[in-house]
Amino acid sequence: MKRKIFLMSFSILFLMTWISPVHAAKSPYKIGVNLELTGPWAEITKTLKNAMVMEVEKINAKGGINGRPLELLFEDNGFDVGRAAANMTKFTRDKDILLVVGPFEDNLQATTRAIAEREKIANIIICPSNPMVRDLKQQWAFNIAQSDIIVSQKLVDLSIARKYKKVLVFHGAWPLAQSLAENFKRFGEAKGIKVIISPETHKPTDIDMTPQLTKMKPVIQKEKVDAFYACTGGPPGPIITKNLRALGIKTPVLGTHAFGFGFIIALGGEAMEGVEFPAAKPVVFDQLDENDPVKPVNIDFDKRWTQRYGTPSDQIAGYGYDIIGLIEDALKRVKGKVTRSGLRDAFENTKGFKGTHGIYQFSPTEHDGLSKKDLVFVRIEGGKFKRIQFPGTE
Amino acid sequence: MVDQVHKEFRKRDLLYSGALWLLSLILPDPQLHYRREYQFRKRDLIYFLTIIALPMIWSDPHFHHIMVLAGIHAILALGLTLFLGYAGQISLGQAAFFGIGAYTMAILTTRCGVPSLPAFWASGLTASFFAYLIGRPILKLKGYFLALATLGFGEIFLVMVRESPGLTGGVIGIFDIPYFSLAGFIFDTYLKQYYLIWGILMGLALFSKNLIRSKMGRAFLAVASSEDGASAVGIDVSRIKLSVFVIGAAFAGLAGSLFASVMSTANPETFSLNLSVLIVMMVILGGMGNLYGPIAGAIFLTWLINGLSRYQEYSLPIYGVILILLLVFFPDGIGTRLRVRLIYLISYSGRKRRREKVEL
Repeated sequence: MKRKIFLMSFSILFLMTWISPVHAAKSPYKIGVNLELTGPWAEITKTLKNAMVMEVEKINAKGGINGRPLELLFEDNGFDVGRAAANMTKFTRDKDILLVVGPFEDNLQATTRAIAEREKIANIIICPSNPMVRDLKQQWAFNIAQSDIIVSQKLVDLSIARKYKKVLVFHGAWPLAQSLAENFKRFGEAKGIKVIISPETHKPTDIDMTPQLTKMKPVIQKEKVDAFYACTGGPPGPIITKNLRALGIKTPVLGTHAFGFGFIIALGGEAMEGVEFPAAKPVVFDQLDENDPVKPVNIDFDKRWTQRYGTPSDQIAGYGYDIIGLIEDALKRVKGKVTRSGLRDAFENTKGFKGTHGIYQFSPTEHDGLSKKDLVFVRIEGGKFKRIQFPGTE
Repeated sequence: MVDQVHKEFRKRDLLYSGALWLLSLILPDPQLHYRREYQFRKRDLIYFLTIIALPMIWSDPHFHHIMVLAGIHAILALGLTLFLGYAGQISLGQAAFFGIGAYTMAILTTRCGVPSLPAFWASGLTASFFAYLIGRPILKLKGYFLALATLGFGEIFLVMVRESPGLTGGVIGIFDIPYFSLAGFIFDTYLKQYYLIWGILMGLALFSKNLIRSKMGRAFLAVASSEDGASAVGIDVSRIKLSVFVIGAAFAGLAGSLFASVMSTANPETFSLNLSVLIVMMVILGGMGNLYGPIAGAIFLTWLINGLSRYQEYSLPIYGVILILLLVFFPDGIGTRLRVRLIYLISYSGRKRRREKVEL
């Protein structure tokens, strides 16, 4: 008797799971997120995750898209190629997942992008740089960050405006920094600037650059370089500047768009004064022109971010806003039933979406959403980011 | 040991029984070192059929993909268990040989247009060549010093890869490595790669099984227990150590070339110290001094890490706690401890019957 009851209840439970409303009308749009939530990028990806969660909650509170909520499924890839690829196959297996965001690091992106092409699922990536990957002309990968090409072009504009004739580049030993240095040399020499790429490099974990800079000091003095380009991101930026000033070198320092974080100034202190770099608009959103369409977006986002997390927003959080905004925008434009290919086509036809970073334009030939217009020049003055403008370069 | 650890049948053994039965399929043979010649047993047939049938029963690309990764890790762990588990030496540079294999495959197939199979063998050869070169001097070291020297080799390898962009693509690495292909047959899905990798793993496991049964294999055990004792009975200790190091490196090189062709990329971030430590962990968790334990450890850890991915930023602490608990409760490896329990359980009913007979 007991056994019968047990069997009955078990079968009922089993049937209940079977009948559960998986394919009901109000089932959510699912988005897979494949990020380095542990490992060296943990802080940055956490910011990105928080921003995406905040935006999705806002959309769902308003009743979702086409009456259906949006759902994010997070997987940590632990900065490992194998795990990133395995997460990607996990996402492609679930037929309800329409699109995958991430990973963040370009080494991992190469593999996941190849899987995205094969399995036909759109993959949104942040900070791609690999020239070899770019040449593949992949149809399913979309980049939402400023590419290394436009950053280098903008930096060449800055050097011309400052009348620098000779620039020494000290780049990091990772793909993004390397391709930024090479693109700067390519575009700079086309405009008549002499660019010397130093054979010395540094790693993201280096906490003292004095050995490399001591070797470069004779070059700086002999060649009489006009500017020193610290082609790096994260903590190495302020470390290089500090070590450079400690060695008594007064050459102006140029930076990359990855200098636009508050912690850079906190780490570098006095030494960071006068460093100039092309930056994304969220870095100095309060100093943008009054008629800039991006300004109200940033002010609204920063208000909500500060309210919820208690810290000022930064450009990485801005990417989170832009990713969810672009997905919402594309989902609204899909006609009929939403499929992976339908969403991809809608995403590819994004025209003039106003994000925090700028105005996104995608097309079948251009999968980098932002352009040179979406960058501004920034100078560090008095411990703050200050926008600088040169006539004719905006 | 059996009688010391467990005295009687406990109720919770009923809970274990399912898992224990599964483990009985992968557990090592306790009589291994005493058997004279290799016999094909029923258990081997069960392994073989399980490996063949599993991806068909569990027909899911994600499962295939993880098992492909687990198979690659298992080949690495198998190579290391010969060195660590049998010969008793420690190596923290296994990732470097893995990397050498991957880069050999990448360079030969993308730049020189060499077919996959010759490139695969070349990877093993290159890795063992480098192992021979560095093994000659560093294998004179013992214990911690050997661990440090192999660790240093791993770091030197990474620096060399990063600083020679002409050959290895520098920090960017090499992309678009073609899939493994054999006489026109391309292993382009995870299912095909699963059979490729587990087939190679079976071959290598058979090779290792024969190796440890041979005169050389017994010499490994002698060296592990006492180097002085081994040399006293006429074993050339340095030669034995060098050869097992070279064999382990060749396994790692083969695994690396498979990894490169599965992932279609090779870049220096993959071959860091983390991987070396992971492989050592697999061998220790699986149980040292047997062949199937590390394979089980590799499968277990690969699944554990991927299963924890959903816990996002908490995945690392949870992983750490699980490892600590496993090492606290299974200090000689999951395989070894549960095997003891299993032998006890299998013989339980027989002993009970005998006891009852005596009482009557």
